[in-house]
Formats: sequence, structure tokens, C-alpha cells
Amino acid sequence: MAPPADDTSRLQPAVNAGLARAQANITGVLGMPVELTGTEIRVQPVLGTSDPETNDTSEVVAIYLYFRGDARGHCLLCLDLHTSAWLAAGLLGLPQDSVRDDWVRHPDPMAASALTEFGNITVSGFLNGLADHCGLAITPTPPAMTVDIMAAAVNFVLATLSMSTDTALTICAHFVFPGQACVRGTLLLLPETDSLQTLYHAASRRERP
Amino acid sequence: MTLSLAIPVGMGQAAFSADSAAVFAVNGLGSCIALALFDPGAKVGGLCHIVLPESDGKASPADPAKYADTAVPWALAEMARLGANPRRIVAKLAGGAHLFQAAFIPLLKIGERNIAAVTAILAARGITVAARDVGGESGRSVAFWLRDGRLEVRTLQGGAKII
Repeated sequence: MAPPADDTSRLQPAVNAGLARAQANITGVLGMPVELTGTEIRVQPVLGTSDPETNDTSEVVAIYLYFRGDARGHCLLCLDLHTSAWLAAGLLGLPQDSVRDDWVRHPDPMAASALTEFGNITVSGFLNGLADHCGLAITPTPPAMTVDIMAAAVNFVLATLSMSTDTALTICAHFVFPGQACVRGTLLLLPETDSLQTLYHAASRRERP
Repeated sequence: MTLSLAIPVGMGQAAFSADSAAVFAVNGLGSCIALALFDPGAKVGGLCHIVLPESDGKASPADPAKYADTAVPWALAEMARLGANPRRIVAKLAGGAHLFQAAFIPLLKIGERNIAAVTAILAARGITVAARDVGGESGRSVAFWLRDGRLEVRTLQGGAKII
């Protein structure tokens, strides 16, 4: 059974701990501060939702990790192409003006590798921060990456999630990189059935006075 | 009708019509299947956004289109209710991709299983598959025109094609 929609605020401190770890990891890798904005926690049906992410036809680099241990589920980080090109150039030490979106639309192997590792560092950081806050042991798999429209990446993961549950806890956060106007990264956390309860109870226990 | 006026069909949902001006659309198919059914004589059509291959007794009356094994018979009955002749109905399929290629990921090859399940159930019902664009590693978006039964399939890397 899912937590009531109006009670998801109990998860906020755990989510914040995860995001803070991800933020620290990204800042360490890029050597510059990264902002996190617009964090949302939603409980909703897996299917038939009208979330922006499930209908978003913008092109993204999507990095996916599964996690297992005390909780199981799916994590997806989506970065728009312009942000991805900017990030890949920075990670590979290339001049920013030498990089176009096409470089990641049809990924150069070096760019793909750099972005996959960026996703790994970000998502693993988030999961580790969340797990540490909740007192849970969670192990992420290595990452997998694709370039596609956001709706396809999100729906692919939702279809897999729908095998185990009809209700999804969606945690969505946006990353804003310095000097990059109107660009974003979206992080989705989708725990499987029992794990949704595990996370919720662990987070609630941690916050209980 | 422009695509912006197309009726969106979400995951596990379906839409049917006897209005030849209707257009149904799905954005971002991953492992899911868009099953387009069309009776060219009656101009009755429907689009199902199938998510999983088998219901295993878990199907709810609220979402018959979620599973291949419940979606196909239900959709054929809906089409007949709108005046379609089951013997004239043809099918077109799109979707069933495997977006993230990594052996360690427990994604259970849902796309492949969806393709196999829908194909087998259509064959068992005697429905001809007129065209398909399935499998691979890319997501798809589709639009289905009831005017003539054409299915437009768009991918990020491959552009648009009509099947």
C-alpha cells in the first residue's frame, strides 16, 4: 500500500539528503557549484498519468540505474541535449564552443562514456545519500545510457515498474548548471512495490522525534 | 487535422472511433506496443497502448488495454460495437523497443515479449497484421489516421515513416 499523497512530505528530508549528496558529487566532478530546484514528490498511478515527463517529446540523454538491497527500484536521470553537450565538453576538457548538440545526439563514444559516468556519479550519490539518511543498504547497478525523447525513456521504466505495482512514488528534481540558461536535468526515483513502503517507513522512523 | 489535435492515448489506455476524421496518437513508446486496428470498410478504428504481455489474472476492468491478452479481445469487441466487421479488421503494430542495452539490468525483455504476445493473440483471432515497425533500441511516437488507416511512426534517429 502506498503512503497517502498528502503525507509524502515525510520523505522530503531523505530526498534532500540524497540530492545534497548528488549535488556534492556533481560539484566535485565539475569543480563548480550546481543548483537544485523544483523538487517534487508525487504518489500517483503508474499508468494513465498526465505528468509532464510521460509526454515530453524533447530529446534527452537518459541514464538508467536499477537499485537493490533493502529497497529495490529504478532511477532515471534525463539531461537535455544542450546540457549534455556542455557537460560532456567540460568533463572531457574540451572548449565549450567546439561542441554541438549533434555530438551527443549521435553520441561520440568518449561523450557517451563521460555522460554515463556523470549519470553514475549523480544517481549513485543520490541513492547513497537517501539510503544513509534512512539507515538502509542500497546497491545500484552500473549505469546504462540512451539518447531518445524523454517520454520514451520514462515510459520504458514505467512499463517495467508496472509489472510489480500500480502505484508509483515519483521523486523529480531539476539540476541547474551555472551559466546555462533554461537547461535542466531531471531525476526520477521509482521504487518497486514493497520498497515504496520500506523507504516511506524508514524515512518516517528517521524523522520521528 | 493537425497532430496537435490528435487524441492522446496514454499507457494502458485505448481509444476507438467510427469518425473517419479522428486521429489517435502516442508519444514515447518504449517497450510498449501501439496496436492499431482498422476496418477499412466501416472506417472504424482503435488504438491500444499495451504495456505488458500477460495479465496473469491481474487485469482490472478499469484497464483492459494494459495487457496484450486482455486488450486484443476487448478491442475487437469495442470495434464490433461501433460497427466494424471482425473479418475486415486489419492490425498494425509499433513499439516493443529495448532502450537501455545492458545485460545486468533486470528489464526482462518486456518489448520482445510484448511483440510476441500481441502477434500470437492476433493470429489466434485470425487478424491480419498489415504492417509492423517493432523492436530495436529506439523509442517511437505514432499517429493513427482513421481516414485511411495509416500509421505514422516517428523515431528520434530515423525520422517519420508511414506503415
